[in-house]
Amino acid sequence: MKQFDRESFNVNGTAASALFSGNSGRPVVLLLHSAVPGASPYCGGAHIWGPSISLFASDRQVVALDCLGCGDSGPFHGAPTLDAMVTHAVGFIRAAGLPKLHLVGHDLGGLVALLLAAEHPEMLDSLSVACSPWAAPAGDGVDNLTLLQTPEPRWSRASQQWAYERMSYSHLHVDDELLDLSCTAAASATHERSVKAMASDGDRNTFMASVVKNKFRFFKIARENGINVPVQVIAAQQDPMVNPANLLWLFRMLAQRQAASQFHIINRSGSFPFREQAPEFVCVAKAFQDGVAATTSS
Amino acid sequence: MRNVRLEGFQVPPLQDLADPRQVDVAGVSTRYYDMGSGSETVVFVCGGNFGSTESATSAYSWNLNAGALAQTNRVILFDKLGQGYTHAPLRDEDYTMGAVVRHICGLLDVLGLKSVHLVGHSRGGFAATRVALERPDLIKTLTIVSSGTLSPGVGTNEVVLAAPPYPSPSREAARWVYENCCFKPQSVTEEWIDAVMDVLRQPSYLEGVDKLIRQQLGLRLFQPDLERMKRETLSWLGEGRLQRPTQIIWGFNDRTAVHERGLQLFNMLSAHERRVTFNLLNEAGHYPFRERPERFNALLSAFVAQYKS
Repeated sequence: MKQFDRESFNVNGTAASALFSGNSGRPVVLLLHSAVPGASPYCGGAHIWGPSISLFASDRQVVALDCLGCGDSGPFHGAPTLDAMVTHAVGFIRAAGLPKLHLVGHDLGGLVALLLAAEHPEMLDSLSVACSPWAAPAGDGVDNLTLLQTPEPRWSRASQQWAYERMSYSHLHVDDELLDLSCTAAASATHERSVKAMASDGDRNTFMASVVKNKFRFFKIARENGINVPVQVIAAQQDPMVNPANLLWLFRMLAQRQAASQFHIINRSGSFPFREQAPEFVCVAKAFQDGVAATTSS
Repeated sequence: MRNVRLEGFQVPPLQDLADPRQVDVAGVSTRYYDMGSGSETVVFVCGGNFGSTESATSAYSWNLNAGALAQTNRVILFDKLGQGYTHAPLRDEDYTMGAVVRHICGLLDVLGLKSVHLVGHSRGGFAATRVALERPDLIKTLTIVSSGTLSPGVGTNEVVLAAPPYPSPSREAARWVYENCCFKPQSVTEEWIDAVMDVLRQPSYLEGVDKLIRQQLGLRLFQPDLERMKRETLSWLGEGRLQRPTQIIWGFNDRTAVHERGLQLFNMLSAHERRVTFNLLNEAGHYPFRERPERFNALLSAFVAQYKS
């Protein structure tokens, strides 16, 4: 990732920091990463995307945002909410002057992406949602035990490594580069503030309530008006965080009102298909983007 | 070429399959098309089987896909044994899926092709999978499109299409069948029905109809043999004998082969082979490659490019 430039923008007084690849003039892919700021046992950020970022960048301009409350972007003002994360992402697109783009969201970033698409379809050519337990119906499920016993100290190198491995099918993608950058993100002032906020029961509950409220708001939108953006749901066969069956139901909800929707399952992958099976992931994502572009132009 | 827009649903410009060729495969005159060029060869296998009068599937099925894939690959289309303009089986005992599979292998051998990207739809998906199992040397990758014949689970072809309300062969019967296969009736163009009706007039095709229906080779041979072969095939898939990258593509709204069965097939194959994906296209029935051609073509193209030499 050394060949990418990091740039920061001011979004209503809060920093929005992102990695930018070259290839200006090509279609833009904006990546929104995973993890709950200050709560998930690993630090999400632009660094999460691994080998997929170069694969996308071969013929696209890639932008990988540090979401609000993460890494080099600014902190939440007041209690953290999902609404604020969506507003921050929208503000970033405007501040960076990005053209109509392809949005790819992973995990919590996937729910942010869906809400962004619901509110600002004019900003997007297409949307891909990958491995998102947050966006899928929970459906009378059982509790997820994957990250039950996080080793202390949280966000240490060893603890983040533990979390990445627990969420993956194979541990082999969890390399020094990922861990180095995750530790850098853990040391940021923004991350410290997110940790403090999420340690407070009141603020943590506010965040979780905002997630549930927005999730159900999105389900209502999908049911009644639909998302006015071609949308692709990508699941991983061995994802311990969300079963492909739940993501298939997310697809079914979107499919009710969006003709241009697709569902895919990537094999031999846990929660990070863009790392664990990067060529296969980028293949289906790019094919969707290209197919949508071909349909619009024909 | 016409460009028809109906209620915002656009039917892409039609491309006639130009330059039909003929080759002898073990004594059977075989129609095929050979277009484009590139390091990779994509071979399309249509659905259906000999002897059907309500519909008559042939290489024409793929006329919205061949041109797109031929931009960067060599593309082979052909009519299966007893279908389209390929002649009927030589012997009664060849009215089997096994003979269809041997004919495909024979065609690839005669054309000197190896390591192709085989794309099979419906019954053709079953045949293509058998080729991959029996002659892996011929196959680099496999794409299975909406194959109820291959998949575990309960086929609903008869549920949707049994006893069409029109006499066959006729345009009305063919249209009725295809409209019930597709998500939107607008997908069934007059040109598609023209292609079907022309096949239904061919003496060699009608020979197959006589054998399958009037002489009851369907009931006595083709069906029971296919059932036995399916048992063997599912067993082989379950044992992990399919060892080529495989892409499964299904239309979400297929009523004749429901998408849950494609998912079951994916679960079987992905247990043994890493490079297997499942792909579902919305607002597409049994013909996702005709109903959503741009996104289908992009998906197939990208899959093939992944395994470029």
